[in-house]
Amino acid sequence: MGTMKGSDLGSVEQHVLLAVFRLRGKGYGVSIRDEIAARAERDYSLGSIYAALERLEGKGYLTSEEGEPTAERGGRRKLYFDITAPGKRVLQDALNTTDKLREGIDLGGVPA
Amino acid sequence: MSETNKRHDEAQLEFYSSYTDMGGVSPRIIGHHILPVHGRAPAVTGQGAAIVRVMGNATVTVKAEFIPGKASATEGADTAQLSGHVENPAEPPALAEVLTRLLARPKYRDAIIGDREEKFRVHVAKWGRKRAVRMYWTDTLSSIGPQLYSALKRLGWFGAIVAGLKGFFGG
Repeated sequence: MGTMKGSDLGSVEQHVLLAVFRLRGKGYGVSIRDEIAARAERDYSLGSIYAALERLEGKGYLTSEEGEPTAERGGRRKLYFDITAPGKRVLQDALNTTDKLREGIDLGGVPA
Repeated sequence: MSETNKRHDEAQLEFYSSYTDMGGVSPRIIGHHILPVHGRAPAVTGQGAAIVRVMGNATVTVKAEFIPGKASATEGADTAQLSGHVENPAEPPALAEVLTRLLARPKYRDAIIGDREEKFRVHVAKWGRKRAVRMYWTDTLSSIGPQLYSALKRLGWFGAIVAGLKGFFGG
Protein backbone atom coordinates (compact mmCIF):
# COMPACT_ATOMS: atom_id res chain seq x y z
CA MET A 1 0.00 0.00 0.00
CA GLY A 2 1.32 3.49 -0.86
CA THR A 3 1.82 6.40 1.50
CA MET A 4 -1.04 8.88 2.07
CA LYS A 5 0.79 12.20 1.83
CA GLY A 6 -1.72 15.02 2.08
CA SER A 7 -4.60 12.68 1.38
CA ASP A 8 -6.33 13.46 4.67
CA LEU A 9 -7.39 16.87 3.34
CA GLY A 10 -10.85 17.14 1.83
CA SER A 11 -11.62 19.74 -0.82
CA VAL A 12 -13.30 22.13 1.67
CA GLU A 13 -10.28 21.78 3.95
CA GLN A 14 -7.92 22.52 1.07
CA HIS A 15 -9.90 25.60 0.13
CA VAL A 16 -10.01 26.80 3.74
CA LEU A 17 -6.27 26.23 4.23
CA LEU A 18 -5.49 28.11 1.02
CA ALA A 19 -7.74 31.03 2.05
CA VAL A 20 -6.19 31.17 5.54
CA PHE A 21 -2.73 31.12 3.96
CA ARG A 22 -3.65 33.96 1.59
CA LEU A 23 -5.13 36.06 4.40
CA ARG A 24 -1.91 35.82 6.42
CA GLY A 25 -3.21 35.78 9.97
CA LYS A 26 -6.19 38.03 9.20
CA GLY A 27 -8.51 35.18 8.30
CA TYR A 28 -11.69 34.72 10.31
CA GLY A 29 -15.02 33.11 9.39
CA VAL A 30 -16.39 35.90 7.18
CA SER A 31 -13.12 36.82 5.45
CA ILE A 32 -12.27 33.15 4.78
CA ARG A 33 -15.71 32.58 3.30
CA ASP A 34 -15.49 35.75 1.18
CA GLU A 35 -12.00 34.85 -0.04
CA ILE A 36 -13.17 31.43 -1.22
CA ALA A 37 -16.30 32.91 -2.80
CA ALA A 38 -14.33 35.61 -4.62
CA ARG A 39 -11.58 33.37 -5.95
CA ALA A 40 -13.17 29.94 -6.31
CA GLU A 41 -16.83 30.93 -6.67
CA ARG A 42 -17.80 28.43 -3.99
CA ASP A 43 -20.35 29.64 -1.47
CA TYR A 44 -19.81 27.52 1.62
CA SER A 45 -22.02 28.03 4.66
CA LEU A 46 -20.33 29.32 7.78
CA GLY A 47 -21.11 25.95 9.37
CA SER A 48 -19.07 24.18 6.67
CA ILE A 49 -16.22 26.66 7.07
CA TYR A 50 -16.13 26.23 10.85
CA ALA A 51 -16.43 22.45 10.65
CA ALA A 52 -13.34 22.47 8.41
CA LEU A 53 -11.54 24.97 10.65
CA GLU A 54 -12.29 22.79 13.67
CA ARG A 55 -10.87 19.68 11.99
CA LEU A 56 -7.79 21.53 10.74
CA GLU A 57 -7.08 23.08 14.12
CA GLY A 58 -7.59 19.67 15.76
CA LYS A 59 -4.94 18.21 13.44
CA GLY A 60 -2.53 21.01 14.28
CA TYR A 61 -2.63 22.61 10.82
CA LEU A 62 -4.08 25.87 12.11
CA THR A 63 -3.90 28.02 15.22
CA SER A 64 -6.55 30.47 16.37
CA GLU A 65 -6.48 33.70 18.32
CA GLU A 66 -9.32 35.86 19.60
CA GLY A 67 -9.62 39.46 18.39
CA GLU A 68 -11.34 42.42 19.96
CA PRO A 69 -15.15 42.45 20.33
CA THR A 70 -16.86 44.82 17.90
CA ALA A 71 -20.31 46.44 17.81
CA GLU A 72 -21.23 45.19 14.34
CA ARG A 73 -20.82 41.65 15.65
CA GLY A 74 -23.08 42.26 18.64
CA GLY A 75 -20.04 42.64 20.92
CA ARG A 76 -18.62 39.26 19.95
CA ARG A 77 -14.96 38.62 19.19
CA LYS A 78 -13.53 37.50 15.90
CA LEU A 79 -11.52 34.31 15.92
CA TYR A 80 -8.48 34.73 13.67
CA PHE A 81 -6.80 31.70 12.13
CA ASP A 82 -3.26 31.22 10.91
CA ILE A 83 -1.59 28.30 9.21
CA THR A 84 1.15 26.32 11.00
CA ALA A 85 4.26 24.74 9.51
CA PRO A 86 2.64 21.26 9.42
CA GLY A 87 -0.39 22.93 7.80
CA LYS A 88 1.78 24.40 5.03
CA ARG A 89 3.45 21.03 4.52
CA VAL A 90 0.22 19.09 4.22
CA LEU A 91 -1.23 21.73 1.90
CA GLN A 92 1.83 21.57 -0.34
CA ASP A 93 1.59 17.77 -0.41
CA ALA A 94 -2.08 17.90 -1.36
CA LEU A 95 -1.43 20.41 -4.16
CA ASN A 96 1.53 18.39 -5.43
CA THR A 97 -0.64 15.30 -5.54
CA THR A 98 -3.28 17.13 -7.57
CA ASP A 99 -0.62 18.53 -9.92
CA LYS A 100 0.85 15.07 -10.51
CA LEU A 101 -2.55 13.59 -11.19
CA ARG A 102 -3.54 16.23 -13.70
CA GLU A 103 -0.19 16.21 -15.50
CA GLY A 104 -0.63 15.40 -19.16
CA ILE A 105 -4.41 15.37 -18.99
CA ASP A 106 -6.33 17.09 -21.73
CA LEU A 107 -10.01 17.25 -20.94
CA GLY A 108 -10.76 17.99 -24.57
CA GLY A 109 -12.87 21.11 -24.90
CA VAL A 110 -14.08 21.28 -21.29
CA PRO A 111 -13.58 24.91 -20.27
CA ALA A 112 -11.10 25.50 -17.47
CA MET B 1 -62.56 65.46 4.27
CA SER B 2 -63.08 63.80 7.62
CA GLU B 3 -60.51 63.92 10.34
CA THR B 4 -59.67 60.20 9.97
CA ASN B 5 -58.79 60.64 6.30
CA LYS B 6 -56.29 63.36 6.92
CA ARG B 7 -53.06 62.99 4.98
CA HIS B 8 -49.99 62.39 7.06
CA ASP B 9 -48.47 65.71 6.09
CA GLU B 10 -51.55 67.45 7.38
CA ALA B 11 -51.66 65.57 10.64
CA GLN B 12 -49.87 67.09 13.51
CA LEU B 13 -48.11 64.70 15.75
CA GLU B 14 -45.13 64.50 17.95
CA PHE B 15 -43.19 61.83 19.71
CA TYR B 16 -42.89 62.18 23.41
CA SER B 17 -39.33 62.02 24.55
CA SER B 18 -40.42 60.25 27.71
CA TYR B 19 -40.31 56.64 26.53
CA THR B 20 -40.46 54.53 29.60
CA ASP B 21 -38.24 51.56 30.23
CA MET B 22 -37.07 50.98 26.66
CA GLY B 23 -33.86 49.40 27.81
CA GLY B 24 -32.16 52.76 27.79
CA VAL B 25 -32.44 53.09 24.00
CA SER B 26 -34.59 55.73 22.42
CA PRO B 27 -36.61 54.96 19.31
CA ARG B 28 -35.37 56.63 16.17
CA ILE B 29 -37.07 57.32 12.90
CA ILE B 30 -36.66 54.93 9.94
CA GLY B 31 -39.67 54.06 7.79
CA HIS B 32 -43.35 54.55 7.18
CA HIS B 33 -46.04 52.77 9.11
CA ILE B 34 -49.72 53.53 9.17
CA LEU B 35 -50.62 53.93 12.79
CA PRO B 36 -54.26 53.88 13.74
CA VAL B 37 -55.00 56.23 16.56
CA HIS B 38 -56.54 53.37 18.49
CA GLY B 39 -55.42 49.80 18.07
CA ARG B 40 -52.33 48.07 16.87
CA ALA B 41 -50.04 49.23 14.12
CA PRO B 42 -50.18 46.54 11.43
CA ALA B 43 -46.66 46.99 10.17
CA VAL B 44 -45.07 46.92 13.57
CA THR B 45 -43.86 43.70 15.09
CA GLY B 46 -41.78 43.00 18.17
CA GLN B 47 -42.14 44.20 21.72
CA GLY B 48 -42.33 47.69 23.01
CA ALA B 49 -44.52 50.68 23.15
CA ALA B 50 -44.51 54.32 22.36
CA ILE B 51 -46.86 57.19 22.84
CA VAL B 52 -47.76 59.36 19.93
CA ARG B 53 -49.70 62.51 20.44
CA VAL B 54 -52.11 63.15 17.63
CA MET B 55 -53.91 66.41 17.30
CA GLY B 56 -57.44 65.41 16.44
CA ASN B 57 -58.76 61.97 15.58
CA ALA B 58 -56.58 61.28 12.55
CA THR B 59 -54.87 58.37 10.85
CA VAL B 60 -51.27 59.33 10.43
CA THR B 61 -48.13 58.08 8.77
CA VAL B 62 -44.99 58.25 10.81
CA LYS B 63 -41.48 56.97 10.55
CA ALA B 64 -40.35 54.96 13.54
CA GLU B 65 -38.07 52.22 14.66
CA PHE B 66 -38.70 50.63 18.01
CA ILE B 67 -36.03 48.92 20.01
CA PRO B 68 -37.35 45.85 21.82
CA GLY B 69 -37.84 46.31 25.53
CA LYS B 70 -40.47 46.36 28.14
CA ALA B 71 -42.36 49.56 28.02
CA SER B 72 -45.51 50.88 29.49
CA ALA B 73 -47.51 53.61 27.95
CA THR B 74 -50.01 55.82 29.59
CA GLU B 75 -53.13 56.71 27.74
CA GLY B 76 -54.46 60.16 27.73
CA ALA B 77 -57.27 61.99 26.01
CA ASP B 78 -55.13 63.08 23.12
CA THR B 79 -52.56 60.27 22.99
CA ALA B 80 -52.47 57.14 20.88
CA GLN B 81 -50.78 54.14 22.33
CA LEU B 82 -48.83 51.80 20.07
CA SER B 83 -48.11 48.44 21.46
CA GLY B 84 -47.44 45.10 20.00
CA HIS B 85 -44.63 43.07 18.61
CA VAL B 86 -41.70 45.28 17.67
CA GLU B 87 -38.68 43.99 15.83
CA ASN B 88 -35.37 45.75 15.73
CA PRO B 89 -34.11 45.70 12.11
CA ALA B 90 -30.56 45.29 13.36
CA GLU B 91 -31.34 42.12 15.32
CA PRO B 92 -30.86 38.79 13.56
CA PRO B 93 -33.54 36.10 14.00
CA ALA B 94 -33.30 34.75 17.53
CA LEU B 95 -34.46 31.21 16.77
CA ALA B 96 -31.76 30.74 14.14
CA GLU B 97 -29.19 31.88 16.69
CA VAL B 98 -30.50 29.29 19.16
CA LEU B 99 -30.03 26.58 16.51
CA THR B 100 -26.41 27.63 16.10
CA ARG B 101 -25.92 27.58 19.87
CA LEU B 102 -27.23 24.04 20.02
CA LEU B 103 -24.71 22.65 17.54
CA ALA B 104 -21.59 24.81 17.58
CA ARG B 105 -18.59 23.84 19.66
CA PRO B 106 -18.28 26.24 22.63
CA LYS B 107 -14.89 27.48 21.44
CA TYR B 108 -16.32 28.59 18.09
CA ARG B 109 -19.88 29.42 19.18
CA ASP B 110 -19.51 33.18 19.71
CA ALA B 111 -17.27 33.55 16.66
CA ILE B 112 -19.76 31.89 14.31
CA ILE B 113 -22.74 33.81 15.72
CA GLY B 114 -20.74 37.04 15.50
CA ASP B 115 -19.70 36.26 11.92
CA ARG B 116 -23.28 35.63 10.95
CA GLU B 117 -24.45 38.83 12.64
CA GLU B 118 -21.71 40.82 10.88
CA LYS B 119 -22.91 39.48 7.51
CA PHE B 120 -26.53 40.05 8.51
CA ARG B 121 -25.94 43.75 9.15
CA VAL B 122 -24.19 44.13 5.81
CA HIS B 123 -27.11 42.39 4.10
CA VAL B 124 -29.70 44.55 5.90
CA ALA B 125 -27.94 47.69 4.69
CA LYS B 126 -27.62 46.30 1.17
CA TRP B 127 -30.92 44.50 0.59
CA GLY B 128 -33.21 45.22 3.54
CA ARG B 129 -34.21 43.19 6.54
CA LYS B 130 -36.52 40.69 4.81
CA ARG B 131 -33.89 39.40 2.43
CA ALA B 132 -31.21 39.55 5.12
CA VAL B 133 -33.32 37.36 7.42
CA ARG B 134 -33.86 34.86 4.60
CA MET B 135 -30.10 34.72 3.94
CA TYR B 136 -29.41 34.33 7.66
CA TRP B 137 -31.79 31.38 7.84
CA THR B 138 -30.39 29.83 4.67
CA ASP B 139 -26.89 29.90 6.10
CA THR B 140 -28.07 28.59 9.48
CA LEU B 141 -30.00 25.69 7.97
CA SER B 142 -27.27 24.72 5.53
CA SER B 143 -24.82 24.75 8.45
CA ILE B 144 -26.78 22.17 10.44
CA GLY B 145 -25.45 19.18 8.47
CA PRO B 146 -21.73 19.94 8.79
CA GLN B 147 -22.06 21.11 12.39
CA LEU B 148 -24.12 18.09 13.45
CA TYR B 149 -21.69 15.70 11.73
CA SER B 150 -18.80 17.43 13.45
CA ALA B 151 -20.52 17.27 16.87
CA LEU B 152 -21.44 13.59 16.47
CA LYS B 153 -17.94 12.67 15.38
CA ARG B 154 -16.46 14.50 18.32
CA LEU B 155 -18.92 13.60 21.05
CA GLY B 156 -21.22 10.80 19.89
CA TRP B 157 -25.02 11.03 20.10
CA PHE B 158 -25.29 11.31 23.86
CA GLY B 159 -22.47 13.83 24.16
CA ALA B 160 -23.90 15.92 21.32
CA ILE B 161 -27.31 16.08 23.03
CA VAL B 162 -25.74 17.09 26.36
CA ALA B 163 -23.57 19.72 24.62
CA GLY B 164 -26.63 21.00 22.73
CA LEU B 165 -28.59 21.39 25.95
CA LYS B 166 -25.64 23.19 27.53
CA GLY B 167 -25.47 25.51 24.54
CA PHE B 168 -29.20 26.17 24.74
CA PHE B 169 -28.95 27.16 28.38
CA GLY B 170 -25.91 29.33 27.71
CA GLY B 171 -23.27 26.93 29.04
